[in-house]
Amino acid sequence: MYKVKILVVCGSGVATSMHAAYKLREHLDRQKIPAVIDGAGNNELAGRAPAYDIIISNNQVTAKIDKPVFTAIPLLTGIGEEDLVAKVIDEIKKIQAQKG
Amino acid sequence: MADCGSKAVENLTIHEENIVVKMDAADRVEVIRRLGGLLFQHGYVKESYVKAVLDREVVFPTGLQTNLLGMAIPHTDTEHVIKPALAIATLTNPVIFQAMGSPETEVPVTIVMMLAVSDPKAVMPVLRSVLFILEKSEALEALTQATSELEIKDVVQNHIQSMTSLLSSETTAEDTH
Repeated sequence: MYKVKILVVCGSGVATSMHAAYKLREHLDRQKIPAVIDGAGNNELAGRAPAYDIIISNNQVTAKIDKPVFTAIPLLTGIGEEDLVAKVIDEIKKIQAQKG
Repeated sequence: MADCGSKAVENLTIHEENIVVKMDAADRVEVIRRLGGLLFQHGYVKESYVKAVLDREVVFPTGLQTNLLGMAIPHTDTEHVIKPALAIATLTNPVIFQAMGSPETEVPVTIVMMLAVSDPKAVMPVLRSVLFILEKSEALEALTQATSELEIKDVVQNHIQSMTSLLSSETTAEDTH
């Protein structure tokens, strides 16, 4: 099955995006959904986005990105976390269906 | 993440000297200046740290609305940090931070945890434990009730201990930075 590639983006890569990435990884592992999750600084977003299927960011994404973008904030606060994870998983399944 | 044991907890200093209980501050700039000043005074960050945090807060704000209260986690790039540490303030009156991810939203903040991180990978397990406090209303409540710096330190340490077993089993997501 196609392994969806997810890029988690942050301001300076110090803390919060890594925490969000781990939490997403744990959710996907629990549901046995294969995915590649990488991290990137905000300044790398435009350059790296083309190689990924889904972008998750705890900042406002101002760069023009031709990929689905989700907010990472629910992964930090826990508020709306299940909703967010469900939406990301829906998107992953859609992408898997397209790419086989 | 191979090194997730208790040693990691010691890598991030949580000390009363960097904690202020019931700080009376006019705005977020004052909170950041005072907490950053403590970190500088005690040798954890370079002189450039406070300005860097203030500047970053404008571009990438760190206010987060939790279930219980508003909390902010101001931080900045690793180059301004000497030794990893956490500075904490509880506030008598909320100050406004802009919300992480949506700068147009204001968050009235009563707990500020300022992160000084020099090597994210080295302190990630303990830093993750700390960040999990955002989801733990009981620990946040205990922080707002605390009447001394030592009490705040104990609440945070106990919270970290309670997360250790959860985080020690981590082996994946190595590529995230």
